[in-house]
Amino acid sequence: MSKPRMTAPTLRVLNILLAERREELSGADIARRGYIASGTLYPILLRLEEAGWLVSRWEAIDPKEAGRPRRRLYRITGVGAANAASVTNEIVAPSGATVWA
Amino acid sequence: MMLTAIGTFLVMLLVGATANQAAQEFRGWTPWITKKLIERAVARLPENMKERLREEWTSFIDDTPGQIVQIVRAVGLSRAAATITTECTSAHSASRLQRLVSLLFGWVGGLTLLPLLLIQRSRLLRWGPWQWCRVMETQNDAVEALLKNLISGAVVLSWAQWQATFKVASVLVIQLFRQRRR
Repeated sequence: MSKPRMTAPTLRVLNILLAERREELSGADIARRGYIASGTLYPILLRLEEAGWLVSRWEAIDPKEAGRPRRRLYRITGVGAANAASVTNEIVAPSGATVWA
Repeated sequence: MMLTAIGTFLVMLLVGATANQAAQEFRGWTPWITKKLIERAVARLPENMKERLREEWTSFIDDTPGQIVQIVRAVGLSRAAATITTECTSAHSASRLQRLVSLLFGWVGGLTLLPLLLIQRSRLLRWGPWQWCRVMETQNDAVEALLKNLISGAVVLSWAQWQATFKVASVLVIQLFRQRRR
């Protein structure tokens, strides 16, 4: 499992999931909270899941009974949380300014 | 003047009625459009991801409020599919390259050592392993005897072991190459 590429939207996704560590969020929840376009969001989610930073599962409902498709719910893992925190520390200078370059 | 006012009123009424009708039409067509857009995006995905992402994206669009936003997001899914496919394909081709180089290293390494292996094999068959060791030990130079024993032991490694050794070497070479590229 390689380290996923760190971009601003990736950090946003990680921060959202880190803030709601005990909750499981669907793709739509993450997109809404982070103002992330669908074209950007899903590659990020899959990349982070492949790296073991996130885990996902299907919502436990019967789509026929519920009358809607199942959501895929994402949760940050311990590894993901530790890495996200370290990446955030790396890119934020002691003064609090973000260092991208 | 009166006629102009009536005309304007009628035009506005017509535009209002048409706009309302168009909005209703649009509302009716949105699920069909989004479904088609999702299908188009799913069609671009690798086979093993199609089922999961079809259901996931359908619920994603379902959870999105507003029909225009739904369409915008459904259009965006095509870009997501393209990125996911590119990433999967590049990972796949990298592993294919790794397999190819590993196979090449294994065979070249193995074939280079094949004559030595055959000579050693015939010696072992002729004398037996213990006899071969005794032959080595009768030599005066103890260090030379030890070295010869070690070399003969290494040469006697089986074909599969040599191939495995060269495969490991090939993986290391590829990793080194990738690190340099970064």
